[in-house]
Amino acid sequence: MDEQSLQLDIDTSPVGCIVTPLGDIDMTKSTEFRYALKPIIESKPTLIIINLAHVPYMDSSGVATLIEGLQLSKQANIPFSLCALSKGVQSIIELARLDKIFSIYETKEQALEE
Amino acid sequence: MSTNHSTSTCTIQFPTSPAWFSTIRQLLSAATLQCGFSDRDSGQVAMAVDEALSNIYRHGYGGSSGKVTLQFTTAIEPTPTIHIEIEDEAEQVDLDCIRSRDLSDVKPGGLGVHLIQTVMDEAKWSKNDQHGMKLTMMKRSNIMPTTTTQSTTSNG
Repeated sequence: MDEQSLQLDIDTSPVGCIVTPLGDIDMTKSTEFRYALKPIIESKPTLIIINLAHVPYMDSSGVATLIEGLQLSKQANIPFSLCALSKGVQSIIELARLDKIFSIYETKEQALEE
Repeated sequence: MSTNHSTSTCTIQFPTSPAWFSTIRQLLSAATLQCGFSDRDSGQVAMAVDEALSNIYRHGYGGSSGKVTLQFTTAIEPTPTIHIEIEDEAEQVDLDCIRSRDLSDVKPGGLGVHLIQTVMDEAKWSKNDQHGMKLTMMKRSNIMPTTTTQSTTSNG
């Protein structure tokens, strides 16, 4: 059984904030992810990039957290993008027809260039 | 787990605690890969079961732990196929309420039923006789099983 807490790498610089979750984001982790994103958005960084390179699986509660992050960032005029989606995350984003809603980049570097 | 030539059946009972969901996903992934599903299809089956369990935990048992019985049968031939039944003992839900929502309205939540219906070839919810719900799902792999052909050499 998986009862470990969510591991997050948060890299804040003048360029923006890159949030890198580590591991699956499902019902056991999405609430924690939501609580972690909120203060980041409230700190008003130049931009927010969610690096999903190390998230092999995400369920609909994880997707809901990303939608909430996007909406809160929009309200605060902060560009919010996703990068380096694993096959599992890419699949659920496409199935939920959100691939045109989020700004999605292949790499962290490409996301930073935009 | 019982095996009869090209079919295998597994039945497992567990509490709907989300702490179990990762283990169940791994079980479904392993079983579908073993019977010939592609990585993509295998991941989608695991996701459908995960979403179904999340819905039972959240809506059926109201965020409390309850009993769930998961049974699946995999078949290798003629096409890799999985049949899944998930039964709970939670409060029964009006079947008309179980439906996909309008995805053009971008908002958090309510994606589970859409995901299940999209990735599985069949998904049907029903009420059990006395209490609880049952979800029956089926998916066929898009990959045909590898067949061994015997070649005959004629020396004549």
